[in-house]
Amino acid sequence: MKDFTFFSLLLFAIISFQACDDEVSPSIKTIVYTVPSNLGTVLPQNERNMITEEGVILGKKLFYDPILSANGKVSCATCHKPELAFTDGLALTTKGVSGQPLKRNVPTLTNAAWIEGLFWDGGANDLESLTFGPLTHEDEMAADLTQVLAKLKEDDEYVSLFNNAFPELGVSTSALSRALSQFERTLVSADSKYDKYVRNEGVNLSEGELDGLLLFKEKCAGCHAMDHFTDYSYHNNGLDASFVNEDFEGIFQGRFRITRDSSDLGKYKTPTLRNIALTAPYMHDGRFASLEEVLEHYNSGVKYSGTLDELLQSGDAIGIAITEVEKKNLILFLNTLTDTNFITNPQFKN
Amino acid sequence: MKVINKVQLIFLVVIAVILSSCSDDDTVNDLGTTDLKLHFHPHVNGEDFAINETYSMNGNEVSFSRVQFYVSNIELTKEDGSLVKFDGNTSEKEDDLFLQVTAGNMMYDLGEVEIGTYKSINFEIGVDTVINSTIEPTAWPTDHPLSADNPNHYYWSWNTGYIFAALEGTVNGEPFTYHIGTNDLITPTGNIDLNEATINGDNGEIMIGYNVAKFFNDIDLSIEGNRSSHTMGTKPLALKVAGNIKSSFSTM
Repeated sequence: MKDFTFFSLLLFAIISFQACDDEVSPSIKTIVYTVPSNLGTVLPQNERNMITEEGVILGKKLFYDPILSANGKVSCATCHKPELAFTDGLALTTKGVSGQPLKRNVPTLTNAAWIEGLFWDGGANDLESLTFGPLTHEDEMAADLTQVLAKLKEDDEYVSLFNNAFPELGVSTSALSRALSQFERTLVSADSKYDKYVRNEGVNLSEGELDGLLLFKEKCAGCHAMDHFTDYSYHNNGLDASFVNEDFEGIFQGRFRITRDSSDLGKYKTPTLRNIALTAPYMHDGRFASLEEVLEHYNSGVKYSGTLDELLQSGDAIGIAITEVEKKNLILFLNTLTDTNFITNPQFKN
Repeated sequence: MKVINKVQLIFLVVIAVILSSCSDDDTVNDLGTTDLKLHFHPHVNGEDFAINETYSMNGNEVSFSRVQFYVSNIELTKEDGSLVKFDGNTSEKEDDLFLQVTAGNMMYDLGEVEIGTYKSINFEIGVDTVINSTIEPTAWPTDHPLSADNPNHYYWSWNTGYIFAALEGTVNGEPFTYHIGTNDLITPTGNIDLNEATINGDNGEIMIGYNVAKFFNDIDLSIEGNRSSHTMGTKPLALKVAGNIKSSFSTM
């Protein structure tokens, strides 16, 4: 009995100590996301903005809602359409509020969770920082965030969705960006014909597709590393011979715009090739309309400059020699990276 | 029921005291503590400054629509040479005190300091480089100076990082914009002399002036290229403006 009194007092002391620690216990639970083994099993997340069911519900609603734009007509999905693997099919889109063409091609959101440097030059460190770019750019959604928040606060459904997902932030710029980022991180594509083949899920590739796969491993996987089909790095793939145009804070100079390191001139982020058949036109400025044009560029169109990637040079030769038959088989293989379940997934749609 | 014995009681009290003390046990001198405010006072060669007023500076007619800068890593040096930091008593940078100073708001709470005589203050103009590179502005509580919800939030989303200092307005009717940022341009002020300031219950304020007229020292504003810098691509000009902001500070 004596010991009981002693230990209950001791316990009380310890509990008092713990009560001092003013960490707020999370009222909502984060979701543990697993992804297929060939993508590494774990979905990368921002530890300060872990995915919750409530956050994703809010993020999805915001993603499809033109309320976020200045004229009430442009949503994230205007340019990131699910049926085109979250691109819009245009070289340089004019679908923004101003109608002026953007300077770069709309990138896919396929497997956005893995991308460490966002935008074509990797300027944004995380989705949470990136969102303010398209939201506020005058040629994109041109949002005045103060006005957007005022509109959201007038909408009872949004108020309750914000409070459910982010009880400490409520309707706020921070919560808006966090919710959009959570939703975008759920856009995982890993269910293509190739995935089912490589995971031995009872799907076979045709002879042409298998030839294409072998060619791909030999000629393309150096940068489009499997199975993400990107190395998440930056390369100069010989699109241009010089990068002297400094306009728009260096938007035509590739990653140099961000690092101001001359060895980064003309380098752009390697895009994933997952769903590549759906995301034409290609390159950071959408200059190639088809996969045939892209392969012909690597075959005969590569231009030399000081930062041209080493993998595109051997001795005096530049580019990657690809025959017409090889092109055909490579394209057959690239088509196996189309993930129909991804573009029709009701969880990703409004 | 037998009560606990004396040894156990003493043990319990000690444990309880150790475990239940929430705050860090700073050693406080005999004089106690007081709340300290930092007063950032913009002026034009000693005259009062206001946003959107036109001033004559080096032969130019200059008007500012925005003057703001972030402040990190504030340190006070006491009379005995000891340093007072505003780091929340933790080693985590995110617990540090940050300020966003705007011309329209002059008073900033630093929290409690010991009553005594203070020799100097120093801080960095900008957002601590570790925080600037690693913590996104949506991660803070909405009332934090670094939050995306701060009404004067200034941040580059296309090249992640805070705009450390922003000066916008017109010179002779032509617009000018200086956005100073990136980790390379974090600018330590060095020690600003406080003239042996006594901080006590009657005087809980340190006043630092910044002379807006100095922002354009040695910059020829008649050249269009000298009226805009977003740091990237125009780093020499950005460095010059950052240096000018630094040298504009003095005790008042």
